[in-house]
Amino acid sequence: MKNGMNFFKKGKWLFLILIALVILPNFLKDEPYILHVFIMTFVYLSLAQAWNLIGGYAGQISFANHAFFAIGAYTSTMLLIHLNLTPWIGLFAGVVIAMCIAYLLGSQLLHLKGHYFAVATIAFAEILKLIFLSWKGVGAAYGLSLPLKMPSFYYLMWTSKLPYYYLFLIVAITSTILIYTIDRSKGGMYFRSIKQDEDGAEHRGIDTSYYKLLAFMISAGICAMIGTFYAQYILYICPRSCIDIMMSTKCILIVLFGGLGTVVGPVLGACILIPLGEYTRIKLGGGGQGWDYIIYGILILIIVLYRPEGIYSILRRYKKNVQKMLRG
Amino acid sequence: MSKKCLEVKSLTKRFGGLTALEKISLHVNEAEIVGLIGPNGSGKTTLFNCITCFLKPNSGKIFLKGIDITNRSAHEIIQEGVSRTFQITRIFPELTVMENMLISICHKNENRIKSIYKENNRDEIKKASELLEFMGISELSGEPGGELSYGQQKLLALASSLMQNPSVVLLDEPTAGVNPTLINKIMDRIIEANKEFGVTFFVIEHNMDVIMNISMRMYALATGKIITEGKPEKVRNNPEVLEAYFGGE
Repeated sequence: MKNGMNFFKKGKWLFLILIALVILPNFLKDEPYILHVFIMTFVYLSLAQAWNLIGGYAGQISFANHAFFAIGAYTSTMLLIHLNLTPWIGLFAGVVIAMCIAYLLGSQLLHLKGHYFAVATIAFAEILKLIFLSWKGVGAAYGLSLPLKMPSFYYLMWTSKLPYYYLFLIVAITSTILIYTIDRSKGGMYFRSIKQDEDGAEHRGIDTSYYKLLAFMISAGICAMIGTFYAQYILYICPRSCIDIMMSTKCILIVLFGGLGTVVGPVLGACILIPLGEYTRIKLGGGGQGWDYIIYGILILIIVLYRPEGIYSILRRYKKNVQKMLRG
Repeated sequence: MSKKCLEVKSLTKRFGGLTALEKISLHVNEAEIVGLIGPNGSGKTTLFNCITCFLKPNSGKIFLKGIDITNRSAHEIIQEGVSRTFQITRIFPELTVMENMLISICHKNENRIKSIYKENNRDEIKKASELLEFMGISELSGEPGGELSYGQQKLLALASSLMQNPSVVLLDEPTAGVNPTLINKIMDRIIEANKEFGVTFFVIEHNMDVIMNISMRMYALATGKIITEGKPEKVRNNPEVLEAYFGGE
C-alpha cells in the first residue's frame, strides 16, 4: 500500500493526467470510435505490463500471454453461458485456472534458456489454439457469442462504451501500480538479477526457479483478468481473434518500444503504438491489410537501432530538466 | 581443537573420460583462512563448482558444519551459508552497487511472496552500507555495477559475499587482474574480515605473495589430486608442488 501511495505522490503531473483521463470521455460520448481506441490502448497497456513482468523484469521471453488471455475470456464466458454466473466469479475462476496452467507449464518449461523457452511457449499457445478451433464445447471455430444480459455492473455489460472506458482505465492503472510495486520491491531486484545473470543470481542464494515461476504466474493471472473484461466488452470471442499470437507480439513490441523492464515503458509504448496503429489502419487500411504492422516494424527498427533501451530512456535522459520545469 | 566448518570427503568429478577431481578430501576450520593453489587446469575452480553444486560431483560428500549439503541446489547451498565469488567477477551490471549488495542478503528464511511487494528493511540497507564502507567503495553505492572498474568490482564481489553472514566464503582468485595497490587493499580486507568478524575463507589464488600472506593453512592441487597440505611455507617448499608448477626433470 505504501508503495501505491508513493506512486501518486511522485508527481503532480501524474494526477493531472489522471484527472484528464477521468473527465475527457464525458466529452466523447458521441465518438464511440475514439473511446474504442482509448479502451484498446488501456487493454494493451495492461497486457504489456503483464508481459513486462515476465519478459522485461524476469527476462523470460514468453509468447504465451495471449493464451492466458484466452483462458480468462473463455472461462468467464462459458460460466456465463452455461451457469449464468456473473463474470466477476468467472474472472476469479479464469485467473485461478490461468495461474494453475502457468504453474504447470512454467515448472516444466522455465528451465529452458533464452530462445528455447520462447519457442516452447509459442508451441503451447498454438496447441491451445488448435484445441479451441476444433473443440465443439467451446464453439470451435465459430466462437462464442455472449448472451445479452441486463446492463449492469453485476453482469459487466453496458450499452454505452463509457463504463467500459472507466473499467479498462482502472485495470490499466491497477496493473501499472502492481508493476510499480514489484519494481520497487526486493522481488523486483531479484527478477532483474535473474534477467542479467541467472547463475549469478542463483549464487546469491536466490531461488531463481521459484521467482521465474512466480513472475510467469502473476503475468498469466493479469492476462486472464484482462481476457474476461475484454470478452465482456467485445461480446464475441473466437480462437482466431482471442488466441492470436499477434497479441503477444504486439505486447512485446510495445514494451520494447517504450522501454524493457521499466514501469513507464509499456505506458508510453501503448499510448503511442496503439492509437498510431488504429490511425494507420483507418487511413491506409484501404491500401491493403497490415499497414499498422508495417509502421510498427519500421518504428521498432528505428528504436532498436538508435535507442535499444526504448523511448523511455530518452525521457529519462531529460528527466532532470523536465522535473525542474514542472516543479519550477 | 577448532571445529570443522567445511568438509569435503573423497570427492570425485569426471567429465566423460577425464577425471577432473579424484577423491579430494579436505577441510576448512572455523575462522580460518585456507589457501588452495595449483597450476592451471588442476581442478581448483571445478572443486569450488562442486562445493556450490554448480556441477554435480560423481561421488563424495560435502559437509557444512556437519550438515550434508552434497547435491543440493546451488541456491540452497548458498542459503545454508556458503558464499562465493568468481574468477571473472559476476556482478550485475544494470543493478546499482547498493542493489548488488542487497540481493545478496540471507535468503534462507525470507518470505518469498512478501518479497515481491516489500522493500529492503533498514537493517539490511544499513548492513550493506557498512560493508561498502568497510571495503572503501561506499561513495559508489548509487552507480550501476557495470560502470565500476575491474578492481572495484572485485571489492564489490567481496563485500556482497559477506552480506549474508556466511559460514564460509569461497574466493576464486580475488586478486587476479588487479593492480598491486588494490591487491594490498583486498588482502588487507580479507584479513580484517577474518579477524574482526571471524569470517572463514577458502581462497584460490595464483599470486604466491598474496596466498602466503593471508592463509593460515594451504592445500596444493595438481591434476585433480591433493599433493600436499600444511603451513604455507611447508607447502611452498614441497618438491611436488615445485614440480607441478615449474615442471620436473
